Amino acid sequence: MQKLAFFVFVLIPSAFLLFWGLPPKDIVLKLRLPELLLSFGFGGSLSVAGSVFQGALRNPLAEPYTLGTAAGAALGAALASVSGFPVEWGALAGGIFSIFLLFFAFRVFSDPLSVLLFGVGLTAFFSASILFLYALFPVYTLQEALLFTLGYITPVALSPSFFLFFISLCFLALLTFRSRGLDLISLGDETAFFSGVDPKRERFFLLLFSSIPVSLFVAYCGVVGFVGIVVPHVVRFMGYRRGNFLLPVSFLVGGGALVFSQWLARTLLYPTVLPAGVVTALLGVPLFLYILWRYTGGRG
Amino acid sequence: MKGVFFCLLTVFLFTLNSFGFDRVVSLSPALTDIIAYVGAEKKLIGVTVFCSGEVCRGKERVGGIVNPNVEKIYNLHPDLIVATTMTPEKDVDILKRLGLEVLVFRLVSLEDVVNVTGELGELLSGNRAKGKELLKSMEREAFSLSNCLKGKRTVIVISSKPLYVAGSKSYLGEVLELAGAVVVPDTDFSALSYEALIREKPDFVLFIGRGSLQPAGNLRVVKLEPADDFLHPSPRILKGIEKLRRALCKN
Repeated sequence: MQKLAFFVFVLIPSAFLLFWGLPPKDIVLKLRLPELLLSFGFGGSLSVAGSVFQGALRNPLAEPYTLGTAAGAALGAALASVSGFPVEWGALAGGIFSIFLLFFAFRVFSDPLSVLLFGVGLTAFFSASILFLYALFPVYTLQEALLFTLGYITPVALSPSFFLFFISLCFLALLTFRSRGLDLISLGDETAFFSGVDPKRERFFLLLFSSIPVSLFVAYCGVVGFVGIVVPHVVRFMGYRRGNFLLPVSFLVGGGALVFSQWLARTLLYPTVLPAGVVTALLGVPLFLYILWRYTGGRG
Repeated sequence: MKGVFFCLLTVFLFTLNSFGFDRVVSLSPALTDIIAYVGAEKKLIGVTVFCSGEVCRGKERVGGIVNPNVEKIYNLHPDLIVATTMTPEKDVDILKRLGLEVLVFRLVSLEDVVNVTGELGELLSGNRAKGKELLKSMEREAFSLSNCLKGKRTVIVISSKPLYVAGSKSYLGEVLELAGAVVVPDTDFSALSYEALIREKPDFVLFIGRGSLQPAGNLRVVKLEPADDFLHPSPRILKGIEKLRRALCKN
């Protein structure tokens, strides 16, 4: 049954994205394969980061999108493109900077709701800064900025997309390798400490390692939300709760989910291409509300 | 003798072939208008979803200006793609990397419009003079406006919420300055506050765009429609001038 679910979640969207409309061979190779690698890697990294954030911060609504990491990376990318640096480095710097802020906030507030609100504030501030930055420059780029903050996946060449996909796999392996720390932290700092894990150090590394691939993808695709919240919950619902299963399965399902969204974004209003972030929000928000309802209902 | 004849024929055919592009995709409605103006609309195979009017009938739609559908463009096998600087560099890069020829034009000032018309005229119909011809007809049309616009302070508003104006360095401002108007403010395109609009003390506020514009004070607002005749930096502005004359110079 679960194998069937994987098949539905992973292979069918990928096949749709690659072969919808039966395009000629060079389109599949030159345009659709990079797009598949990019959206699969991004969706996967977002979901892995979501799982890590939710476990490490013990907060069911945490993910790079809600806590401002994605927006930080986007601001970094925008600053870099304005000042002529490579966007990837800018995004990386922005993402890491926001992780430092988040880590600091976690130590100050230590209450999940406050951390979440801090993230909301951070996201709003970074998004406003992006718009301010674009307002300083000619009007023509404003629409582009809007598409960027909504997560518009543009076609790229094969080599960068393959490289990014490879990086996302590397960090997935690294995080899966360290998933014992994640499991222990999610049980509480005290349990983690007495099981031989330094919770502060471990939490910092987990957050950092999961944000690096997300930041790099944000440089190319902009900010995509709700994949990182919804997918880990779906995966846990399917019965994978321990980190060494949760993370790889999240990667697969999340990749499939973003690939499906990108396929919809491209096909719904053909030939206009929608931002993929719009589609993930449209599909993800109902699920997100369901999770919220289920979570509060479970406690009350 | 026969051999020489065939050689000459081949050379002739080759030069004929290299002379023009036959399958052109335009990523800007303004460039589409320019291509139609230089008489090469038959070579045009793809236009944006914003394209309106007779030119676009029977052409493939290839997505928007800032979000073109790269795959569809590639599928059409064009030999030339023309775009403005509004199309993101990312998309232009990927099209170039796919081995397609892309020309990017800047269309902000009147000089840009005239130059691009000349360039596209030379590329697509072998007629560079089209640019100068356009400038001449613009000057002629603008001159017919001069008795109602001469010396008048004019603000050109292209969006009311937020207030966005085309200043004297934009093609719209320059066309009106040809007619002797004093276009304020002294920018190309920029956002403006309502307060600044009133402080400019314009004689005319030309409003192009959707909705309505009601600034405080007794400013004379002239609403111009349809917006497409004014907002394309292209020969279509000639139609716009005609409409402007009807709206402004009726008495």
